Amino acid sequence: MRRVLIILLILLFIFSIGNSAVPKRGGTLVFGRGGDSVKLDPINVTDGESLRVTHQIFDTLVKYKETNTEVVPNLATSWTVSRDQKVWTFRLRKGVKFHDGTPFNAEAVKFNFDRWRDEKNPYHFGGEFEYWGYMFGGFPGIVKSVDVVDEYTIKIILEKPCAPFLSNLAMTCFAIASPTAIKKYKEDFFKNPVGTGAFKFVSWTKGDRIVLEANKEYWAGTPYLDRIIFRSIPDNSARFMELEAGTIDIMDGVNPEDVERAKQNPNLQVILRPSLNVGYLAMNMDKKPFDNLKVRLAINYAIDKKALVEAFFGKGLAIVAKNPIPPSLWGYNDKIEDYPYDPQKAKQLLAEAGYPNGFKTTLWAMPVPRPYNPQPRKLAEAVQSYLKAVGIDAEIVTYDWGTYLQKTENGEHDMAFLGWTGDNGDPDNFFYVLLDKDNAVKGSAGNIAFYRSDELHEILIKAQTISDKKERAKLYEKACEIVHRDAPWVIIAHTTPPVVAKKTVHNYIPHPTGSEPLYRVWKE
Amino acid sequence: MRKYIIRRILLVIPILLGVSFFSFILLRLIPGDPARIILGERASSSEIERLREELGLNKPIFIQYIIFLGKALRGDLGRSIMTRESVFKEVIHRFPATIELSLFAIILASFVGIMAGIIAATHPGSFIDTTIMISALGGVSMPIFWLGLMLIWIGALILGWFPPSGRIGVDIDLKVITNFFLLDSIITGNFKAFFNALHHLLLPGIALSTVPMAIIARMTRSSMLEVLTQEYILASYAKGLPKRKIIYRSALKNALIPVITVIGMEFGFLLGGAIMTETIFSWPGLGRLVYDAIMARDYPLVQGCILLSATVFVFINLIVDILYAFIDPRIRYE
Repeated sequence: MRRVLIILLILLFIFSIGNSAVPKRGGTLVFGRGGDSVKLDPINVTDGESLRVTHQIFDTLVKYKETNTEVVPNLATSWTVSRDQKVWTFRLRKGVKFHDGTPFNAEAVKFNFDRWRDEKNPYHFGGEFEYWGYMFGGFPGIVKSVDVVDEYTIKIILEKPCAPFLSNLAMTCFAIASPTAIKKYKEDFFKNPVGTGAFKFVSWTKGDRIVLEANKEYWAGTPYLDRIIFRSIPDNSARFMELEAGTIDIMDGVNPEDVERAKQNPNLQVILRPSLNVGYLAMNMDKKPFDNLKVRLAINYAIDKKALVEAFFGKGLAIVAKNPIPPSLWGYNDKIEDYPYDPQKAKQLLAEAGYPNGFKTTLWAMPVPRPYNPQPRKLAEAVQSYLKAVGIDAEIVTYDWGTYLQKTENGEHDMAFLGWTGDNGDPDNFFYVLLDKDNAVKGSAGNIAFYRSDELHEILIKAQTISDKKERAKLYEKACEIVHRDAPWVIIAHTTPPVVAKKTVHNYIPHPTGSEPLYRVWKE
Repeated sequence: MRKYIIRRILLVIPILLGVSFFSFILLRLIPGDPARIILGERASSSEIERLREELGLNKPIFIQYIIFLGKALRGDLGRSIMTRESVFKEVIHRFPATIELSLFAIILASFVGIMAGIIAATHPGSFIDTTIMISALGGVSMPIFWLGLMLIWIGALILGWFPPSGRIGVDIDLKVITNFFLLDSIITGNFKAFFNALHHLLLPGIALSTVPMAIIARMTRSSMLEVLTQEYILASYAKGLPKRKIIYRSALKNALIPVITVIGMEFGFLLGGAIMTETIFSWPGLGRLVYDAIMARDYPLVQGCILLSATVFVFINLIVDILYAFIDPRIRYE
């Protein structure tokens, strides 16, 4: 009798381990989100809600690692680059088929690249191909030609070296679509997407839901889930109640107060998405007194960033920033010691700079909340009071969003809040866009501090032309130091947006870029 | 009679012109360059120039309006910035969901509102009258985003009787033909879908019906009170007719005339798409479309929604006015 009991216990033990550790197949995952997709043609969208869905239907040549932005093989199994960094040769995965049965091969890859880059291509329809323009410098941009070498080899020749080339190709938007489907559906391809991805498109009820089903022949293995349903539920509170009621399995866009409620709910789990953004206060170095380093340092010392982040970014939903790039990026320099909150030191620096009684200036507050700055008005008011405490009298100025962007690009501001969300997970996408002197041109400035450092420029240009990642990482660490030293910004925060899911959802790993593949996700 | 109807129809033309002008001017009232605002943070100057061209922003404003009007008359309301699809198509596609919800809400509101109004009117000054009128006041003044969330919280989370939001359950497969889910499920004989869709209609329907319900109740009460004091009612009492018969046969018919106008008007309002209700209950109708369009700064789409809902409102009013002439003979001789 005792022996039977022991055996039973052992069996029970094994069974319970199996239950919690071995992924279960089947089931439907209902994903609740704030908005519907715009289009399901990945190259013709810029919004996260479209890319989140196309990420499941399509594959890219290369992809990001599960938790960071390092690039790994996907539809391309390996690649080489010529010594002059201009010729990239990709070996493609064999035996892969699009959902409509079309074979995936070098011809299909060429078809997609030609569609993207050539404005005269008969299939260059369906939108503006925005991201091709942004990442590759227009049409055709830096990609000179795309040639089929043999059925599973493709050669891409660039006009000039481009270090972030691979990182760019890993972006969800550069996904390979079925040429047959594009020819068949034409302008309506965005409603009938066909890729090689883990899930096939089933249906789309606008404003309501998108249904996908598992691609049983997926080259990386059959997905665990049978179906995914993306439901759009615009109101954050209503969406959270859907989750509490159990009618959806997972959601993002959670109100800060609901995050607290979710933490206390035994059936729910809170998962933080690693940050890929930065919110900052830029000081216009073309204007006095911000051309003076001591003034910029004084302002850095005058502001208690920790208190700001805790008060206005939601508890535990953001980290204080000390570098222009978030910690999930390689090249992040963790050795930097941030300027502490020290109003005395700030006053002293102001006195040394010749402003013992402070000065009058303007502080531009963003009119709309963005992921990197959820409460722009309150943040500006708080910063205003910190500045007041050291004698700087800053008047808050604001415009509608379009005008705000226009005027800051024009350099009309003194100090202005702004931020950036990364595209391709390459540090160049932050540093060069936001801090290089090339982008400090009035009228179209990405660098709205009008910070022009030749030392930084040299490093950034060098980092653009070499492809060895370790070496590049070192250069960006150095770039972090230079920016820290010159202090063109008060770097405020990197936000980590929360995702809340039922505890029965496993293996959901949010990616910094904002969308992730779901074929490894399973449900109890 | 015919003269009245013709005059009423002719009156629609200047109203529609006004409506079209208002929705046209909307895009031009935004401070700054609309093309710039639409394209946002990363737009290049060539993209902005192209959009200015597409929106016709480079022409004098009067010419712009004439072009806009000419196109609108042919059903061409431009293209959505977000999807590049025809605005007309997008708007028409969303309309059935809104009609379904509005019809449900207006029927519920009329039924309950009229009943409550009659009860209040026949017991003037009583406790029940006061209760009904205070509830009606509450109904008009309750913010819908609060009421909606409360209904979801109580109805779906605490009681668990209703689905929290959406138009149909995720496990239901319904072949969509007309996009009226109730109709489609009847056509395809899918009764599971029918009851599921009806179930989903209840919470948003209740939320949407509160304001018209309250207005209808108040209108019915005051109109009923007025009718009840008239001589023919007194005569009926004198004849010894039962009270029930007097109220429901003789009084109600006349008392309902102004109520019908109110119902028509409220229905017109609802058809414009209840932005709040549809957003909270994630109901994919016109109101949701307006909300999404505003959020995405898709001005042509916002314009199209306004134009359609205003036009529908004008026509519902026209129909009510004409109906009115049939119900109440006095109107024609005006």
